[in-house]
Amino acid sequence: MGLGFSFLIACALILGVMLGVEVLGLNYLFAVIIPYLAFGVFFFGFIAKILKWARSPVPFRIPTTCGQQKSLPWIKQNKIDNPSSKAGVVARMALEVLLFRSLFKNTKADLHEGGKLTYQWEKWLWLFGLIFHWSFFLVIVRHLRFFLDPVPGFIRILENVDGFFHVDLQALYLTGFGLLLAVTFLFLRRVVIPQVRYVSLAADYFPLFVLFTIAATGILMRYFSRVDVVAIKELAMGLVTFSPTVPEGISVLFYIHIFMVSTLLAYFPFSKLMHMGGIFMSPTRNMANNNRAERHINPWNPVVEVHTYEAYEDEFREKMAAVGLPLEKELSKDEAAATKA
Amino acid sequence: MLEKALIKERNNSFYGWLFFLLVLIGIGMGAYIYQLIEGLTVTGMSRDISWGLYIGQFTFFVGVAASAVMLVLPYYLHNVKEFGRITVVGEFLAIGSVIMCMLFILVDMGMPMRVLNMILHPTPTSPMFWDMVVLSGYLLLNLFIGWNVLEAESKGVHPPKWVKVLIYISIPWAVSIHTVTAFLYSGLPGRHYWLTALIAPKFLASAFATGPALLIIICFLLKKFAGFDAGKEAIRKLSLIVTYSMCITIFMVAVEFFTAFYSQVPGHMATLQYLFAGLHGHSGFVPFMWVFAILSVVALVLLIPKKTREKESTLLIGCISVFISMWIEKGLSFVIGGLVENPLGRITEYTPGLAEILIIVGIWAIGAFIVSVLYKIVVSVKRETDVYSANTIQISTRNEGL
Repeated sequence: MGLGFSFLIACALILGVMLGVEVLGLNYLFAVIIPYLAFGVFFFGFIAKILKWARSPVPFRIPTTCGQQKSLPWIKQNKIDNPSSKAGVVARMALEVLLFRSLFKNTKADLHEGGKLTYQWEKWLWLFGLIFHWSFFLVIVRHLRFFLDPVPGFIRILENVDGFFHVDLQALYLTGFGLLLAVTFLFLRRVVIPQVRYVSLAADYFPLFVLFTIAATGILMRYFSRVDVVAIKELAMGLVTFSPTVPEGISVLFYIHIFMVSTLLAYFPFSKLMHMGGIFMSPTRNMANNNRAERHINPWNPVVEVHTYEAYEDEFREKMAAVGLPLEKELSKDEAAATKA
Repeated sequence: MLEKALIKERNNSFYGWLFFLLVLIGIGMGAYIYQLIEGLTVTGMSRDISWGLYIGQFTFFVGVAASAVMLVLPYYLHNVKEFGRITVVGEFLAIGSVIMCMLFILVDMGMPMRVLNMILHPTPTSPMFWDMVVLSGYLLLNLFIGWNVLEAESKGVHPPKWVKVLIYISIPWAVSIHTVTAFLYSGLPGRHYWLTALIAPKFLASAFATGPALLIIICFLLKKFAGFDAGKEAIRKLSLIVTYSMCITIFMVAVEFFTAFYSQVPGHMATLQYLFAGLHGHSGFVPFMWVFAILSVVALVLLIPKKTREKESTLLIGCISVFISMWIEKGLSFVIGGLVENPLGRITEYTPGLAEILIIVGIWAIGAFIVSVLYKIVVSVKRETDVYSANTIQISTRNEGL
């Protein structure tokens, strides 16, 4: 159900652009208005989401831990898996964000003959997840060449490394194909493994279809159909300098590409894609486990009126002294004299 | 499985070793970038010597890779149980060696960025194309076999059935990688030194001496630094393989002299004269060939008598001699020696460039790094299974006592 629904939506979007550009001539709408709108939705939506999450109080330290907590000096602490300091938290978060450490620990249980239960390292999701995210990131960085003039040196270096291998004298960007391959794997995984398919919803399939279309149209434009790159750079520079123009002769493939990117951007703040910002806001990961070392006061504890013993004694000191009750703070001499009199 | 490489090693020198290798790899990378910018002119190669040290190292390590079969074949076909503990050590050595081979080919290319053309425009009439096919296949075979067998062992179950099929395929495949590599040379009618059908069998024989000799050295190192014991019987059997193979190799090297000098074939004599005595005033290789000759004799003297072969210290010296002498024969003199006399009868000498040597050191370091990490996994798994089996034996003897 979710699969078919997402597929239909993705097809409808592609068909919509093709009709809009080829038949109705709405080039300006698809090349300028929709990208601006989408970017606006992404930008403000992203900030709003993060602010909303940042405002949620997190009164207690609730990190998920998988190692020895800081304890007595002769017990060795696992400083990364059970961090007690900010540095440990940062190291743990960096390893998680850059290398997907928790996914690396994924295992798969198998039942063998004789009822033997074994756990096997499940590496493929980790591996393809890593390929997908890093490729996507590097592809985006490479795309900065369309929005910057002159193109900065680091982008050229990245292009040279990424496109080390040539086919027919033309650089072959490994990240582009890595992205397509990894998205395909992540999709097939959802379809083929029954348990994963059971928990997959339209919201899981849809971004994969959009990403697949983006990568596929990108590769088609670069290696096969040869679009007018100069015109596209002109369009991109127009967009970032807020003086948009739509040059003639840009292939419909490009319109599909940019429309799908716009779709992804607009969809971003309302979907699971927000894990990009959310990972940093997850209280199970961004806190040190120092519940026992430091006192954390719940910020929404109500203010309770208390009458301390000190105040009580101040109020009744003379009377207490008169009946001979023991005092923490004795009466001064004048007061004592007054009481006696 | 890979997570087992991250288990903390008790012996801190392991991390020092890895760091040392990383430094060498970094230097090699720097030298390679220099070579990429300047071109192959930074190497000692020239118009006449178009294959140099890179291809020599490649040839040598194809042999090391192929030698894994010397453990796999006895264990799986002849049920030599003693090798069970170390077959995976041999397979992982093959993985490191094949990766080194591929890197040596890559750095030997003037335009490495066009390497994909090998696949996009295949040339089935060229042995180079087939070398690529068999080497990549052999890498994948060893990766899948070694990985799955070790994983099954760590889980305490039998490996999946398809692994067994791959193992049987890998045995002739190992022979094929070195045969195809030999065909790269013996298929060239213009080079007399290489134009003999003996090259493929000589390659295989020397591979089966070098690889197991290296394995014996590795087993000693693993025992010393990681506490992993391959077993006395396995070492004894391996040393026997080294001895026979070494004898056959030296025999094959020697018979070449008869053909060349008894029949006085000028082309055949030229290289041998150049290598062992010097020719037309050029004698760059003579000292190396003397080392080769002396070490070969040392190896044979130490390995043939049972007494010295079974003594740890002399066996180790013998194996190191085998390794170095075979490295000189195959990695140094074979390729360059075949090219020193050009078709016009002129001698061109070869002196490697500094960048070339640094790149070679870098690739050796990459191979050593890969193999070290893989062996770390092996040792971690074996430690776990050893503890497990020790416990079950204890429990069973206790039950018997009851």
